[in-house]
Amino acid sequence: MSLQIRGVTKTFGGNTALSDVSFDVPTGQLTALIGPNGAGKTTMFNCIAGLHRPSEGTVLLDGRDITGLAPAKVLDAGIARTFQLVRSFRDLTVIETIMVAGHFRSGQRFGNSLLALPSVRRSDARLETEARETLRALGLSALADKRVHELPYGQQRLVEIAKALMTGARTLLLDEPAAGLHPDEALALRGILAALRARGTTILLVEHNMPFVLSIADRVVVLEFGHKIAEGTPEEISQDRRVIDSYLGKEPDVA
Amino acid sequence: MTTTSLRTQRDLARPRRHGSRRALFSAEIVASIVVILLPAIVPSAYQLRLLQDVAIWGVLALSLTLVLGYTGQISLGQAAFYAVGAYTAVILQTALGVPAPLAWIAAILLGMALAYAVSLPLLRIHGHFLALGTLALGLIVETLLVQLAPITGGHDGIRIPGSVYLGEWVQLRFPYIVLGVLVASYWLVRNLTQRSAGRAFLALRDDPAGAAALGIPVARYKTTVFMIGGGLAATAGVLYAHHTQVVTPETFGFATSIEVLLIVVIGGMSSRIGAVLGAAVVVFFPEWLEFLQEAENLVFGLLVLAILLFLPGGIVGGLRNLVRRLRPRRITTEEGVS
Repeated sequence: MSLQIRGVTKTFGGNTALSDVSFDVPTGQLTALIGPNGAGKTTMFNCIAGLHRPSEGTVLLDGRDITGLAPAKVLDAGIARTFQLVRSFRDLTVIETIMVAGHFRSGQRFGNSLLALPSVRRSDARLETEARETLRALGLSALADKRVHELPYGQQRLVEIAKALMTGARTLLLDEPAAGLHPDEALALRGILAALRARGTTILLVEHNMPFVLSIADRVVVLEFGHKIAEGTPEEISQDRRVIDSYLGKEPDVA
Repeated sequence: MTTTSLRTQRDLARPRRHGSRRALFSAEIVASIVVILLPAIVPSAYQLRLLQDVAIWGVLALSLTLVLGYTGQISLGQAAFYAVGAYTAVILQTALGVPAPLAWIAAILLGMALAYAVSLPLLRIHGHFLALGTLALGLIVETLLVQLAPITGGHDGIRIPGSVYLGEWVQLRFPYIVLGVLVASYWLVRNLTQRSAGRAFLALRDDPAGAAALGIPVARYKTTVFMIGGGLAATAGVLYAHHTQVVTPETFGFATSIEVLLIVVIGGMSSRIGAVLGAAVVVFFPEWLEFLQEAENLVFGLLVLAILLFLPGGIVGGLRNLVRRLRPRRITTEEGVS
């Protein structure tokens, strides 16, 4: 079972951002979506996460059609996404931000909150425990009481991932998680992603950093001008003629 | 947007160590009991009246704290819901002979219904436009109070003598009801904001799209909070009507909406207790400054300006900074353990 993209096409007016793209994101694996700027990577993300409705084609999660569902429903189905731009709630600390990501599944609503039922207190304690565990897994424990916007950029990106994890989703869509990271931060991120995969989390990531992608992905899907031009293991991709010509060839220093 | 540029102070919603949560809870319980019993120990009828003024402004301010401080919906029309609560309670009792408790409930429900109805179109606008939209609502209601004279009594308003409509026994004990409602309103806002729902409010206030991406039903939460705020303001209106035993349009004008906003800002934007403290400042300070005669307004104005300039987090924000400065720094190590 997996996330399956079947013949997804997305047009904006006369422009075709995605043209009949199909690929699978196998459960428990890390799949990378690469391609030059404007290749349609983020559009594909938005089509999966419900921000765009595909013009044609379907998105299946474990066989269930989730095409065109609203973002909240997609999240409910088990897919969480991070954004390229870090989002921060100015008044909330890191731990609170992570706890907010668990709110929709916490069972805390207006009615039981107003009555301050014991279930609310228990649910809140559980949220906090889970949030602290999530922070620990990402090596962010020391930052629990800081504000997100006070953190260095690299750690803000990790908080984004922590939020996605805290939603309880089993499939994560990560939009350029390594962008702007120092090499040692990227290395730490690689370790974290590997650990998530080891826990059975399915990951689809969009990334520009080729050495990073080739070192961690199980499968790579290459887009160019809205078309899929290649798909395979990192080894296959790094030897694919079309990919080298259109993408890798421009970066001779690729490891 | 206006709310994000103001530095805010709020209580709880923040995970705390168990001990401090318990201590705070005990303090809240004790304070609640003391507040409800205050009418018994106040020395003069005059001070009893001021005390009820504070409580009524406090309930109104709590409604705005919830709506503006927690969900970032600026309302310059809280007086509209205040008016609907007061006039509905009065008209139902005086013109239709509805028993007081039923009239009160109907008044609160009508306040909530109005808030729900206007929240649907208001959801589409933000910031300055929302301020103007709610301002318009306030002006419409104020105008209706004057123009619908056959029902509302126009400029003369409607009298509702307590001894007739509440009975002597209840009338004598009405101050306890007023303070009891203040305490109940405090607990309502407290329960709603202190845990996950409260954090979700702050999240959707600061970044609606980011909150929505985490599965928070932003529109529904905003509407529901606005509706509860309308209900609280209407409740304050019911209290006001029986407290003064007369309702007239000028009580429910734009100036009232602004004064509520002033209370909330003075107290601390997202602070529940700040709403009550702010109300006390706005009621008591002008009384204390009365000896200044003509200069009273000037001095009070300067005082408010000083609070805005030097305590951007309001009174509660200022107090909190003071406590933080006085307390030894060992917070980080403790957090690591818990």
